[in-house]
Amino acid sequence: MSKIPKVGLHIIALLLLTGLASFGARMANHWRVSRQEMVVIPDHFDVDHFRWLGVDGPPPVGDAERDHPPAVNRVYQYGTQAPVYVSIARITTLNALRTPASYLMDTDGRLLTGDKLLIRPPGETHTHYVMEIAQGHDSTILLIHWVQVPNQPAYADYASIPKSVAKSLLLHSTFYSCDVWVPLRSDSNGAFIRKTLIRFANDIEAQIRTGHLAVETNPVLPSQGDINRMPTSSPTTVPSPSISPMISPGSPSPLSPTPPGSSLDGSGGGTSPFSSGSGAPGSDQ
Amino acid sequence: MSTETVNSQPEEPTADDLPINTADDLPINTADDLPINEVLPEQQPSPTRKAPRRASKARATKPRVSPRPSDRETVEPKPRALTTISSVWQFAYHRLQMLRSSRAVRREFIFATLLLAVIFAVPFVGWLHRWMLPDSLQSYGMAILPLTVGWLWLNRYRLMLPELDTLMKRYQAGRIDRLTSAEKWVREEREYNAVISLLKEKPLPPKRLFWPLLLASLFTVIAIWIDDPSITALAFVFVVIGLVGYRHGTQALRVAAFPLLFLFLMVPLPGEWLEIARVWLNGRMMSLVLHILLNCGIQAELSLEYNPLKVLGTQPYEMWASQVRTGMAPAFLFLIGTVWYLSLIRARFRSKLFAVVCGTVWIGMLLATRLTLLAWVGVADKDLVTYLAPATLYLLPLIGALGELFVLRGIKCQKYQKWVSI
Repeated sequence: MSKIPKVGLHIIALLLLTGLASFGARMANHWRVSRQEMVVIPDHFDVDHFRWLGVDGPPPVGDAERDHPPAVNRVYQYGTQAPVYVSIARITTLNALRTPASYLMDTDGRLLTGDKLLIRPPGETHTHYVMEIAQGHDSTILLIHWVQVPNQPAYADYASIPKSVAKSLLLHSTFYSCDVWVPLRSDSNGAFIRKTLIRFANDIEAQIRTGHLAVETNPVLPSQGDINRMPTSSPTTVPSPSISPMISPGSPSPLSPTPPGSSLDGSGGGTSPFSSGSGAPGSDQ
Repeated sequence: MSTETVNSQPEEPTADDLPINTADDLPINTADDLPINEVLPEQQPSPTRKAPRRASKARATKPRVSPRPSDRETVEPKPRALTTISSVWQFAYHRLQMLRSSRAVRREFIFATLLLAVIFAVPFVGWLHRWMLPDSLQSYGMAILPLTVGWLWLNRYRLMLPELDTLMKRYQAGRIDRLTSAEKWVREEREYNAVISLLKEKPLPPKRLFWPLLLASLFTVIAIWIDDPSITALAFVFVVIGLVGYRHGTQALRVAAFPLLFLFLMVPLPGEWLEIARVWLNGRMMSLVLHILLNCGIQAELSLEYNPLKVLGTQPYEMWASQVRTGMAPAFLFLIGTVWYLSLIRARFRSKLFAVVCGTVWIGMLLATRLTLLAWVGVADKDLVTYLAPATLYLLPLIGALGELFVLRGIKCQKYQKWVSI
């Protein structure tokens, strides 16, 4: 009867202990994560007396790029407007902190150079949201992104709160990565989309900060008259979903910022959602 | 102690008859209770078999054959009594046979492998997801474990003798890549001296490293708590290194340095880092293709973000980097395979470096040519591109390997390392 040598027994014993401890760590991890409740976002949002009704939606196209985090995904619709997508994901791995274009879009998704708007509410010292245009080979979206710890204000960049990031990754404390986005269409109204997205973001941010559903004020169901009043199209605000400005060899580097308000569709006549209309509270760039 | 067996005695030799190290003395791969002194059943000396010659006699009369890939079939001996061993190759073969025949070692190996598999089964799924992401630069990660196991198998005889370097140093045998016939003879003489030492002397026990294994185990628990694929993969590699260092000692770590370091390539890198690398590489590639098209007289434009490339013509064609796949993933697979293959080749470091540089340039040219052709075809027939793009993608590593073999032939890097056993 051959026996396993002593050194082999040491190894097996150590691996056995490691396995048991790992199993315990995994169970503790699951228990801690399962105790955290996902944020509950409203079934509807009211923007200028227009009620956007939400249903559960699919995860973003590139959800695998951020390791499929636990998330609440909703789609809000109103009339014939382009739907507003909301994704509130709990950060579990480092990949969940990637730039939104990498998981909201297809594999060709990237943020358009120079089109970035940092939004800071009046009286605040830090930016709450970042608004960007992302483009893939199938679509172009306007998005608002932020990260937030429950009972804390939103931050546009996770690097501003490294302690919270470290706590969420190492101790699995709750930490959300939030995205609200709209696919841009040829009949989209930039000012209206921007206002809608900011309203969505404000309500969700308040929801996570206070832990209560946003207070509804005079909810109004859409009527035919409301729908008729919706700014359905605007010839001056449309970034074409097909193509971004072209350059030829010798052109400036794409890393150099483009002038604010530059055309997105290359036609020279249009204005981006960032430059049309007004209403962004305390926007700066 | 005599090394001869008696012709007329049908009895099996006892342990005392063989003047070799005991199992406890063996520094690697033998269990503490490995019956190393036993003679395998098929090699038991029969009354009719000739008595093994003395070592000195064997040295004088028997040609000491150093194993070479070409004559491996004739050199590789049947398991034999240790007293007939006259080359390091035969000794390594003997050790391997002892290991294979040891039930204790098999049991230990199975238990340890099973436990490792149980600990890292769930994280492995996460690694797999990361490697299989669409258009991921790290799709080569799936090939790392098989390549590592393959390397270990090809070098199995060398891994049986981790103390060989130390013994060779004792006989002042340095590493000589290109040997003249006289140098070969000198080297074989030294190897012969080394094997005599292996047979006669009691080797020092391996210097086992326990703390690295313990720290790796603790890190594994923390990694599984954190549950990030990058960190768990790192923990896996650390545990494997720790196991080798504790089970077989520092000399074995040195011998197995390449496969252990190679394992680090399987660690999934954070997506943000890969994204930066992918965007940069794709940008350079698209820019190169644009220049080639313009020099060929084909009008084209590149977007501000270097993606897509728009080829102008009667029917403009937009070529998106990820849609047609720039081929970076197969290119990385090719380069990783090249490095792995070169580790098996006997050549100077600068020759290997030259081969890697040539391989990089070659695969870059292939990528650019493929994209240029796709852009050119896309103007005429977009649908054809949807078929050609994936088909040509998988041809890249094959054509790359053929070109690399040609380069290796040109710089005379074709001979395998001495211990590589195919």
